[in-house]
Amino acid sequence: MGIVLLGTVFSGERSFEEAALGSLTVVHEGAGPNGENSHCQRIKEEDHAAAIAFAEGNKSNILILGNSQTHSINQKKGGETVYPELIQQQLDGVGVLTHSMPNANFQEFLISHAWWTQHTAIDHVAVPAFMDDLREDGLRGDFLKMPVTSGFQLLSEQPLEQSLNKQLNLLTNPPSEAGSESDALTPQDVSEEALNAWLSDHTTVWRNRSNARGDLFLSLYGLRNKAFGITASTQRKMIPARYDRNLEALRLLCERAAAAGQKVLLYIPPIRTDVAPPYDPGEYAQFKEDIASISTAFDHVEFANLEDIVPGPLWGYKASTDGDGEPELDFMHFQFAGHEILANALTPLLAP
Amino acid sequence: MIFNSVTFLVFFTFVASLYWALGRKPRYWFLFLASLVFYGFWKWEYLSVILLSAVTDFVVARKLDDLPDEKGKERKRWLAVSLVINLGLLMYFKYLLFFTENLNGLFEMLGTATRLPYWDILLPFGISFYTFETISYTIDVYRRHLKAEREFIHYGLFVAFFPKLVAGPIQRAAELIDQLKERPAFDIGFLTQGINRILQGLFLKVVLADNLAPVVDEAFAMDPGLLSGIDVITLAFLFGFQIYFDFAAYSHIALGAALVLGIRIPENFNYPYISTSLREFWKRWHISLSSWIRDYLYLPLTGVKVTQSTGKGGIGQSLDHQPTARRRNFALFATWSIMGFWHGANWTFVLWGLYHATFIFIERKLQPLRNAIPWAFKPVITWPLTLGVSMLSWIPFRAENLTDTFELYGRLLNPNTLIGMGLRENTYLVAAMVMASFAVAWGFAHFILPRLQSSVIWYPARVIQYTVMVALILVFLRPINQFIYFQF
Repeated sequence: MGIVLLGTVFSGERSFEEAALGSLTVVHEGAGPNGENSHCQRIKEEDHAAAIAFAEGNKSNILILGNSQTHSINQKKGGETVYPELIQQQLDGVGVLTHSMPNANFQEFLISHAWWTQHTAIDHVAVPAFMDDLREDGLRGDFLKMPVTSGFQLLSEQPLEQSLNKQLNLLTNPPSEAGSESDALTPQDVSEEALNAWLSDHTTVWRNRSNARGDLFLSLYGLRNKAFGITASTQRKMIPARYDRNLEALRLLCERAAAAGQKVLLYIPPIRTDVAPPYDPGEYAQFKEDIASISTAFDHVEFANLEDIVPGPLWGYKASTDGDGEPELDFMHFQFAGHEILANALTPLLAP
Repeated sequence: MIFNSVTFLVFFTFVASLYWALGRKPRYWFLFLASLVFYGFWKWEYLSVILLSAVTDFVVARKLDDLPDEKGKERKRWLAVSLVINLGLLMYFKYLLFFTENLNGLFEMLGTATRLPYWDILLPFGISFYTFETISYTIDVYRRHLKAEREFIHYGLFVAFFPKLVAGPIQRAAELIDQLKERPAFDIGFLTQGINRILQGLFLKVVLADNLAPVVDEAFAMDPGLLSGIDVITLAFLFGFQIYFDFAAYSHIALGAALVLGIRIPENFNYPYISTSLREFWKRWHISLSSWIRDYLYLPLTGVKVTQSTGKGGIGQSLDHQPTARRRNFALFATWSIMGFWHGANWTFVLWGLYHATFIFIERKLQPLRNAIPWAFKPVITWPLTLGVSMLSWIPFRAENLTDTFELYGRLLNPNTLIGMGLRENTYLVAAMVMASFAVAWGFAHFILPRLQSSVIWYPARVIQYTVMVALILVFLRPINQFIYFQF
């Protein structure tokens, strides 16, 4: 009966991120001038290989780092694309590489930037500072697939970078599922993989387990939001320890860029400003001040505050997060017209 | 092989089916071989360590049994052979690296160039558990509490019996060998009760413990200097519940798997977090270890002659024949230091043991005060105190090193760092929810469930319960986290 319940309630193929974004926002990755794969989000190694190959043919390259704002369009219509591709269309002969990760924090940006710098010639880096994402901490292997699979490590004595190296190493060499501490596969590893593969090949229920886990957690979030009256507009408090680690990571990223002779564009990304943002006003002001002060500490870092360039009507709504069915304001993802505005604002700042 | 895997479910289904189809003698050999296969799925090379330990104690116990009491010195020599081999194996595999590191640290401090080489040694799963079982068997035979086994297969199966091999419950030979020798007739009750326990265990492990693990890992990975005292309390509670769900899960599955095979293993947990004293806590938490430590370490250290070993838990309890207070206190602190060190080769575990010894010592001293509390108020006062003390003991158990441990306790003791929120809001919410759910579950199991059993909704409720449990187990069944006690 449990298996029947599982098959009935959790069926269908969908990604966790799509479920998290809701039906009004669509994931979309940009492309190079000839449709090249230049926008890497999470999974496939071939994306990175294609992006590196694409970068090799350009006279200069820009690396755009981002979060889901970079790879999502609210109320997307046919043919619409995201701002990195629009920037690419405006800059002839310049390659625009993009690495966006949902809720990306500066520690992940630091690793991504260091990896791209090691693998291709980057001249300019665009780093958005999302206040939301400074609540995040640590590295996620799913979004740093290539650094993780290649065993990438930062060359550094800095405590934060040492700590990130440790995390990378753990992601590269996770403890065996069967609990062995050696690199060699145990009989349990082998049998478990074979059994799981067989079950996934022969049963939909087993194949859909990750979706079911995602759905369950989303339901729990919905329940929490309902119980505590949390909506997309609810103020999120800064978490001091994480905030400090992320700002330290941003400083280190700027140092590394300077050492590599790269220019950095550090900017406050657009946020919906026709309604009160979901932040404590004092904390948000302090955040903007902190980001600006990091940029002034480095000659090669330019700062731009683009928080109010996308007007309210160009944002949209997201599906209810507390299960009551009422759409909520989406403060992160705007419509295609918003991508056009952001691209037009960033292009002159990133042009060689 | 780990329990929370598809491999185990396939393996166990096969073993249980064939076991009941076999006759008495083939059954021993089949279970013995199945147990070796179970262990070999992790590292077959380390089967030799188990077999060495088992053969040693089988031979030594026979000698001890055969030698008359008049030959006391010779009997002691044979006992020493067993202890040296068993503790030597434990020392080599579990503690050599620790001593090497500490000695090299000492050499460095003294400014000498001497350095001991580091050997790459992998800790065999379950060595702390089966070593204690083999030692207790030999000591029981030495004390004439038990007759030595004459057939190796019976003793070998006692040591290697797969449901309890890797993380207990630590068995006494007297409790298990006779059951293994019998040929229990198949009873559907074994199957239903056993599967029920296995499902409960899998639920605790894959649904609760494994989903708490990322929250706990993330919180403990933070710089302790950035946390507040409230955060430290939250971490302690979260890890306290994670390790409880994790270890109780293992014990449930071990008991359930044994029960499916018609073998009864004593309970290892009994709602430890409802205890109103630390002494009670240790009669409810890892009962098989606390009773082992009491019978083979604490009581001998107090100078009390042990006349019978029992599987009931508890350390530091009052004794009929009271040794001197000084002797008891020495035994208490020595026992807990060793108990801590048994858990892991790190000073943090020794500190954990000393923490418990200190609070049990304080509890003894405050006993008159406790007795003076009116009966009705006693649980209201003693339960939260015991819960707080037992939860905060998990800080050194989980922290990476002593520096982090002292830093975390420091955040709690410093009024300037006591208040503050350094963790994600969900972390506090999860901690509060788990605590509340535990209290509700205990209340439900003790007060409502017994009444429901005679009601018409009993069977429909059970069907719904198991349907949901099985569905959740299937969703979360992944061997992503080994059981925490595997590392001990």
